[in-house]
Amino acid sequence: MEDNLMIIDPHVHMSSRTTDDYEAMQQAGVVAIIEPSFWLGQPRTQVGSFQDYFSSLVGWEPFRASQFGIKHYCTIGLNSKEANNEALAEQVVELLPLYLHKENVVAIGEIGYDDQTPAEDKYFRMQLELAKELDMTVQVHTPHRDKKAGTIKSMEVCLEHGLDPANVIIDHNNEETVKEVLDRGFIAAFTIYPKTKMGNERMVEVVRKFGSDNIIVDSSADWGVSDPLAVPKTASLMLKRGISREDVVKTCYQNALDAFSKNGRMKEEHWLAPKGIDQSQLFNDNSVLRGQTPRIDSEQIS
Amino acid sequence: MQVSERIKDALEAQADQGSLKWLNEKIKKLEEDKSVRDLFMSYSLLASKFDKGSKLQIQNSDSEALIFLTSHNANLLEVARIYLLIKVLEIDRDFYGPKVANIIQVADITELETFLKFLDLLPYPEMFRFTAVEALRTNISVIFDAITLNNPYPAKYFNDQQWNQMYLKAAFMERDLSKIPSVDERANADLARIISDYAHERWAASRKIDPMFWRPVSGFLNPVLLRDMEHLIDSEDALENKAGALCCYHSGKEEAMQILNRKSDLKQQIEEGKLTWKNLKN
Ligand SMILES: [Zn+2]
Repeated sequence: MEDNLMIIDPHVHMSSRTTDDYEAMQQAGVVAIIEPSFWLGQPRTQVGSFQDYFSSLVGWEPFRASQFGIKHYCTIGLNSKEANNEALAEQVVELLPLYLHKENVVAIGEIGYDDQTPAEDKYFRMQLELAKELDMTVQVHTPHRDKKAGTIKSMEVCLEHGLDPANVIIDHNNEETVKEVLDRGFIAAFTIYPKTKMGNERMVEVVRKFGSDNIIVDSSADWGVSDPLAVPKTASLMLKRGISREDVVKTCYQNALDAFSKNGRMKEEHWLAPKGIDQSQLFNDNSVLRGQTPRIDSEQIS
Repeated sequence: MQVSERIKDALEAQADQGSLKWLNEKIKKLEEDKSVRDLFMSYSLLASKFDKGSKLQIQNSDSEALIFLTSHNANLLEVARIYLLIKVLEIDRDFYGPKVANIIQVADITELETFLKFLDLLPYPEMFRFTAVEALRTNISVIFDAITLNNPYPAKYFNDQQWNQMYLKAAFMERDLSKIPSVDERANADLARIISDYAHERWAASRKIDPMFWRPVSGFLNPVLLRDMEHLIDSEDALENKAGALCCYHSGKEEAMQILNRKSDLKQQIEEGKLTWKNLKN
């Protein structure tokens, strides 16, 4: 791992992770993260569950991250899976405007298609309209099944609603989808999954082939098998495989910053000139930054 | 003149004129239409219209509200948020009260901090006592501090149980107890017992306690607390000596004065006004 490489993980579900992960991420150079609102594994049945989840993304979780020297941002939206419960979806969409202006909210997301049902389509479009009205960045989740068609459809619908593709991040790309996404002027994010799908060896080859413009690496780490160090590990592997430092910085830091800072809430000064971790803000003597040895000891995504 | 008018004047001197015009129109509409959606949208949009980087600046105001805002370093976004909430509560308490509660329920850390810090400026502040007490449960220190430190609200509206809960947790979280207003006025026998119990727990674990913590016990020195006073007066820690001396002196109790006599220098300093709770740590 190179010294002083700053990392942004623009897609990681920290609510499902432990403080060990925050600690390891900070040690590995992660300075800021974006936590998209998503599905929790168990479908929610009440609008209040969404409200409390969103509140946690703008309340408790940024505080928790700050205790580990990491700046936390989030994206707010109704995910595609739960859009299929229409009675509930209606109430959630009503709630969104109250959250979209909060100070760590950098985009509407992650929204898009899962099974590409009519209900998913309806709420995806409603939220794109909201993004347009409020001039917000959009973070799109692309389906795992029928991925290529679903990705293309997502982009077409964004264009249909008049969104600027440079203000839309299409996530969970692979070698099959990346060209279409870049050609249309959208931003292509890649989720590095352990074992399956997009591994970081493959990511190196994507950057070698497509360059570093408009390409972003993320971990999408959540409650499933995933690795919250996927971005620093991939950065490290890229350097080892001869990708230039400049390209590594772009794909693992700068492009994410550029893409998500458009509404002015995400700012480099938040971590370059932080107020400092106020020790008086630590509770119950729970000082968590004691300078343990970095836990990142290989580029291997286990 | 209503509080809201004073705040409005202050905002007008500093904020962006386009934003102010927008806000005035929204408030007019909220008065005419009573719309929840408009309130939520207007409140949300304040963040993009008022600068949280600029502090409210007031020269020589006689308005308590404005003095309070500036002494708490309120920025323009905070002032605009409080102004809007005050305004809609003035317009129609019954209709907008529950909606304001909704806004607070979904607040992010900064919004909640603003709301709690300036809660005392709202009309019908007692309406929001539940939220204020809930804030005591948080582990997020900026929120806990917002309601607890330099805030007149708890002393005015908390009952003894709530006040004691706040005071004990403030000590537990190692906040600066000298920033809690009205500690003497809200002292009570139950709190004195809690303080003594907590001290025994800490002593048993060989841990220290902030000497300021003792302040509320003066009026309630029973045999147990008198032994605690001896412990403080005989301690090797000079700050504990001072805290014990202050408690004994202000108790006015004969037994306490006898304990205090062991430290005649401190007694003299208190009598001469040189040692007070305010300068205990200097
Ligand atoms: Zn995700």
